[in-house]
Amino acid sequence: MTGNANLSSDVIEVRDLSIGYGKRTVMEHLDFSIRRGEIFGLLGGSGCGKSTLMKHLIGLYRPQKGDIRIFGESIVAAPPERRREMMRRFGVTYQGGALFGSLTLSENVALPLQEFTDYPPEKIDRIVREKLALVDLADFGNYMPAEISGGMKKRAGLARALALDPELLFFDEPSAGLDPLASAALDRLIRSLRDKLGATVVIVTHELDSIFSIADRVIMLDKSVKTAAAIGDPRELKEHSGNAWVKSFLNRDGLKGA
Amino acid sequence: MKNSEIFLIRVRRRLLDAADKCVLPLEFLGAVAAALPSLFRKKGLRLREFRYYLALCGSKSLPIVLLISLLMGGVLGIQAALQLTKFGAEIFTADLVGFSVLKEFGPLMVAIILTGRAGSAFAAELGTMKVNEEISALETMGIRPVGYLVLPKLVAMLLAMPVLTVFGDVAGIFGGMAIGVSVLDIPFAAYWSRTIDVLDGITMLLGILKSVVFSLLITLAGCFYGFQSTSDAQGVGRSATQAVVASIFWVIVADALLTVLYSFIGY
Amino acid sequence: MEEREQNIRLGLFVGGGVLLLLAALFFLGLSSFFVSEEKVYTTFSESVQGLTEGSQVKYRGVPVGSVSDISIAVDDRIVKVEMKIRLDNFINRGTHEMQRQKFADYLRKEIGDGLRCRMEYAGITGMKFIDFDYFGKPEDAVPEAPEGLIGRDDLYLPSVPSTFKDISATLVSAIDRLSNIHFEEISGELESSLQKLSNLLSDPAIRSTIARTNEVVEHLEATASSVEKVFNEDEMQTMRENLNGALRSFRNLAETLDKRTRQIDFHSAQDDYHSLIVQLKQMIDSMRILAEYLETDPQSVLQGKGKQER
Repeated sequence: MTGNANLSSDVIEVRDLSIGYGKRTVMEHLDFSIRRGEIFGLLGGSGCGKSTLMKHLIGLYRPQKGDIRIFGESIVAAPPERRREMMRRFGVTYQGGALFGSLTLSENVALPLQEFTDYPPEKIDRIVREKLALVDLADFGNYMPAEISGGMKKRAGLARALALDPELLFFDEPSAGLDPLASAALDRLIRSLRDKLGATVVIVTHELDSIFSIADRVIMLDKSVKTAAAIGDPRELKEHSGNAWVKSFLNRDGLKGA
Repeated sequence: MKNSEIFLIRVRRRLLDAADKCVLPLEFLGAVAAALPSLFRKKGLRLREFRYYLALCGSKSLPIVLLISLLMGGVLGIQAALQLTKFGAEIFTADLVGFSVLKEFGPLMVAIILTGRAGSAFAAELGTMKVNEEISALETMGIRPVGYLVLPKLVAMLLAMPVLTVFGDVAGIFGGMAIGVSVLDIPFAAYWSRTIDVLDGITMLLGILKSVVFSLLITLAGCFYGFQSTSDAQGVGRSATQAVVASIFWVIVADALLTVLYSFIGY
Repeated sequence: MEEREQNIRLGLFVGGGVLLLLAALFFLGLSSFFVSEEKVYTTFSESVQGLTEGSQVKYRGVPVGSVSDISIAVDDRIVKVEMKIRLDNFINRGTHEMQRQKFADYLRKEIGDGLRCRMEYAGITGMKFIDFDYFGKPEDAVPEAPEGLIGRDDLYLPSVPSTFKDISATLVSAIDRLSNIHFEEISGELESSLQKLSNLLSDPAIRSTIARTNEVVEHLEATASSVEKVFNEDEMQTMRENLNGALRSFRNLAETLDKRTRQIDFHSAQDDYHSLIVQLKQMIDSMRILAEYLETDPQSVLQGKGKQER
């Protein structure tokens, strides 16, 4: 519950956003802000467009309408080169880790450093070891992605996302495909990272356990009305939301809400 | 709404879709071209990947290229001999095999083998990367996927194919020679001197130039369909198939065009 | 050290390919960059059909170069042929300049000794090559190069008419003579004589003569058609017409003889007639040999190997 403490500025502002695939609109009239240092959840049933919304936030997709401002600058209007520079301030962790199969874990983590810094190899080595230690993979630097488990891949992906010390961390379904214990461990890791690094974290998930344990605020996307049904503290929404869909979604256990 | 209006709307949508389909390859080509200058920057070419693809397309493809070319040369030799013995002109087998191999079969066989080996592999690899969101990951790291993933393949292919074509040319000529000497009883020395007498270096270099063009087409087709792959396992398979079909199609078209062009300059 | 191994393999692949390419290019004629050549010119007043750029040039059968250019002087229809001669085939030592000088001296001396060039057939396809040989005699005057066609410093090797031209001329005149023999007259005389001494005709020599005559006719026909396949020059046209004339006469003679033989059924023996018929038989025999030879190997006649008098 530390997120509300430093509200000095909004890291992400979303204004009247419409998203979709091709001509089909999935969500419209989205208006919300994400504050510095909070853990923000994008929540909804599967197919509601929460992953798509995340890809809009990180600039991979172009919205149909509306604006997204990150650190006060529109990522929608930015020219491609500028958008790429903005992306370097994010760390994104994908569902399966999205590690490069031809590189070892160390090389995966080192890749952004090699591409975007002029650090000497020893310094890169040190940073890589540091990041791997942060996600409990200190001994696995020389493994290939195919040789490790799904949970380890996600953590390695996280280490790579952390390589450039991002101010903004995105997680796409961090607990998908993990057993409850691993999932809870990952949740703890995310929160400790936020506390240690002071980064802002955006999580896409449909896992209620995660939401209640780590999210400061959530936006709930309702497929049936194609827009946000509620924004706020999940624990409060669970108890006091006036919206019937929100209430039933949050009160269900586990995945069945999808 | 009248039926005719609905029809017109459908036609219009079809046309727009078709235009989209035509624009995509152009967009891809432009992205590759735009990435080319990065080759000359520091760390521009990822050596590790380059080496990997050079081995995949080049040295590891060498045995199959040698074998296929040798057989192709032999087959050409037999077919040529069957016809030429009718005129008592067996020695012209050397001409026929030599020119066919240098001008057409050398570059073409290598192109077809590498389409199967490299083109489909590129498409499948990029498709899988798409499924695993590795391409999105690259983008969010601020790295241009097209330049990052295509250039090492492109440079490796541009180097590997001409080299393979040299090997294929020589193997094909020796295949024809083996047939000429063993089946037709042409003395080895006669076949050899006839071969080096009628063939010329320019013909060989023009054939190798063909293979450079083919390597471009195979790489671009493979990578294009890889990037176009939908994000599922079937999509990867489909994109590999499309890549193979498209690259063979374009290789043959380019071959025809180049042959016509070469005929203008007398080769 | 996996990486090192891979590098070695790649190095072998690329390096081997480049070396192979260089070797292939060397063998396939880019070797000419490293070989000194000298241009030699000649002119032909006959048709050079079958001679192309790249046609071989041989010195007494040894390939020494190739035809590099063929052009026509429009004023007098003389064909100028430029040949590139590989000097290494003649003089192996010294710098290119020295080789060139020595070759020029050598060529001039040999021309004095009768060295000439002429076109020869290279095979059944009608392709030709240029042969350098001592077709002239040392005492012959060296023909001058046609005015304005050959540069003053260029090497000029005079040509002699090809054997093809030679032989076709001889053949044409021979066949002319053949067709001038009045077979009708001979057969007329024979006929009248035979009517008087027709008993002679039961002589077996006559029967065999008739049979041979028919054979000759067949062979000559076959020759005419195979000659037609190989050549299409004007001269051959004339030759063929003459040949056909000769064949017609032969056929008449044969038919007459045949007719006579059938009509006559009494016997008589006269030595002088017998000897006449034996002579006729001999003539026809030699005609048959020529015809057979022509039929089986028309080209050899044109290359001068065949002796038309056989």
